[in-house]
Amino acid sequence: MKATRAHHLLWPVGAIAVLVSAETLGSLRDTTYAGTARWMLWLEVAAAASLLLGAVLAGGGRRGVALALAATGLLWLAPEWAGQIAAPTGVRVLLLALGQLVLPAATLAVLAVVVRAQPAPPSRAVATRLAVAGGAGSALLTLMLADPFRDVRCWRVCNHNPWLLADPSAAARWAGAVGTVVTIAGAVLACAAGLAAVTRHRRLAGPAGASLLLLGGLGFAALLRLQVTESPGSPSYRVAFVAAQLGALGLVASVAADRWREWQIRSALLRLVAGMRAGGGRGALPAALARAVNDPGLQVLYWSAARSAWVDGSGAVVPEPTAGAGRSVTTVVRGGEPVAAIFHAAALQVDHLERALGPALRLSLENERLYAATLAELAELKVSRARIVQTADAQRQQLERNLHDGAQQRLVGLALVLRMLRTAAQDAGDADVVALAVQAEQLAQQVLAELRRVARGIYPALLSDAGLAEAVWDLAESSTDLAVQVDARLPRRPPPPVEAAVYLAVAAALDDARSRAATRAMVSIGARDGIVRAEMADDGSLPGEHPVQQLADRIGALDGQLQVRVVDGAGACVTVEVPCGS
Amino acid sequence: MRVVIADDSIVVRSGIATLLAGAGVETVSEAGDSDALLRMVATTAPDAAVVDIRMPPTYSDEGIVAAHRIRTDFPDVAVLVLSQYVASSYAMRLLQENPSRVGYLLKDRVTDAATLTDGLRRVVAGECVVDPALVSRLFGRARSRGPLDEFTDREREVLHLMAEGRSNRAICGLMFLSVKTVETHVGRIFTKLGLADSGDTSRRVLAVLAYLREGAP
Repeated sequence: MKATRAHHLLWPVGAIAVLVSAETLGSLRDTTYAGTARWMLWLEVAAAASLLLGAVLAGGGRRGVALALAATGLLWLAPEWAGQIAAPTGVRVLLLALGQLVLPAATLAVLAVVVRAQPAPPSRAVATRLAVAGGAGSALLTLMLADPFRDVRCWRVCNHNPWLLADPSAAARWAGAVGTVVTIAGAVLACAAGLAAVTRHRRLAGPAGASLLLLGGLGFAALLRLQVTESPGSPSYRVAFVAAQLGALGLVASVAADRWREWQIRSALLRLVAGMRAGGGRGALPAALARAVNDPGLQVLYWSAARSAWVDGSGAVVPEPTAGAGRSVTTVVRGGEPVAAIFHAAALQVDHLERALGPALRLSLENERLYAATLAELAELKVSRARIVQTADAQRQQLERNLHDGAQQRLVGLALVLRMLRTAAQDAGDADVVALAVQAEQLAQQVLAELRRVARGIYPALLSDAGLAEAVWDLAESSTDLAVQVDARLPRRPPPPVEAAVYLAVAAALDDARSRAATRAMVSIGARDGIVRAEMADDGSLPGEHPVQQLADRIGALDGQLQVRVVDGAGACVTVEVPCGS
Repeated sequence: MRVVIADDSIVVRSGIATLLAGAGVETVSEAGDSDALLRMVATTAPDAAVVDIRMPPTYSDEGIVAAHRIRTDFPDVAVLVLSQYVASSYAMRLLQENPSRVGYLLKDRVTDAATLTDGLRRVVAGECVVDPALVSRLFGRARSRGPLDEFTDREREVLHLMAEGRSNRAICGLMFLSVKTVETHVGRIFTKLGLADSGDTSRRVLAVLAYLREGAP
């Protein structure tokens, strides 16, 4: 809040200072660059004003850039103001000292605008420290230990320094030179970091070039001052001066272009939000976002906390999003939890998109995330439901196999042995044993029949062995009270869970038809477009609370559908549709 | 008669062998799966093979597959498949794949030496055999009004025996009728059912079974 208010004050104060001083600076022919030519004056004023404008443009969104540009803009004319002969000497020397801070401030501005990789490279911290230390040292030395009156090379100010702490000495002059060199070192390091940033992001080439001009001009002039008296007439100084002005203008232009792109995206997103309020429905957000930022390859992934994974709009789990091959990822976070990951072209700057997403769009993203996460959980539930049914079926099938291959085979063996016993007893003429053997054999056959019935109830072996069509035929053949007609046309066998579900539905529908005193039933089974469809029609009385409905869970577990309807005012028609999943 | 027995249970195999021995049928070899069965058929050249329908590795239709391979590779060897399924589908598949010298009996028959040896004698003689229980089940099936309702008891009996794979001559013997009477019955049955009598026993069995199973129930 405070920073915002200060930033509101900064612009008018700076603008007034620049405008008020412009005309007077232009008249100081011997003590300012601005006094030598009209165009030099306007170039300088334009550079200072643009730096302030850049600070306003960068605004609260990029506070580092705004503060560094504002400081540079305010200090930009300080050396020139020191040339005001009419002003008190104390103020002029103070301005001279502040002039030492222009290069450090510009260095910080360059670092803020160009070197913005996260995490920041170590060279950025070193450059910042060198600039601050060198600038502060030089400014303090100028203010307290330099006396322009005793300086034979004095230019702008040649009066006694009223702030002087001690007589200027050779040591003080050397210290001043060291401060200048440290400051320049910071600027050089900042330029190097800027060029390194260009190798990662080509779009930073513009601001990096402007930075070279700006810091090169200012640094060259500072270096020059150590040996040659500064003068607006000197070609070297003039070149350095013009380069610095142009660099400042260029740097601000790149900041403005950056803001312009950001504004474009933001306004496109605002239109998007307005459009979404008007309609568009679920899942429209990613497509609209892609249109808004003109990136057809844009993808939005959502975070599913329950599954600890990224999912797409349909709830399908997708791999962890990673940047690469010209694509970047912007992760939208809310309350420390990821909400969405936006995959977009690397040309679209990450910080642009992140800041352009307004609260309304964030809320929309959060809604879409909730929807996608719910879909993901639903899909997982469906899969687990199908798995439960399949596991139960597999266990039943195994149990049936165990009964057949174990108990049943042994019973057949037992019946055979009993038959042999009977034959042996007959040969021996022992009628009592024969009678007992016959009894035992009958019992064994009864147990065998009973066991077969139980095994069939556990899982119809014919279904797994011969398939759905034959198993349904078997149902029809075994029906002694209900005439069942079968029309089963399946080009190939559906997966076992589908066969089991359809078979059970047919069996249940036939049982139900019997309970409603039906005399005829028609079962049609076919497959089309990967969906197995079975229809059971009967001529029984009207269906009440339909027991086939109990199978709906099993059918639903396979993503299928079960329908019961009344046909022609009499009888029921049960329809089952199950996708084959392939 | 010399036979090979294939069943994954040793108890069942030896039991059948003992039972058949009592009826004068010699078991030359026993096999636990279809590969062993085919090897033994090749080496021992039996008159017939008694094959369980469910054998390793999948315990589904190995017996039917083995029957077809035996009938293809060794045309002189008849095959009697023992099955736990009373459903008509496997029997019909067996008859469709192998036009002669095959039989389909329910596994419950293994204790019944007479039925087993009768079945073996019939397939070795070139006939087809379908378990009577299977035919009875098809007969007992609920169906709406149709040609079968107009059949006399005698005709139904003849149809039943035809479905079991019996030849006209065999039907004569079983029903104590003259050849001519049986042929008349057979002709009338085919007319009523709207089928053409091919004369070939196995195709006749298939046609009758298919009618009982699918035709206008």
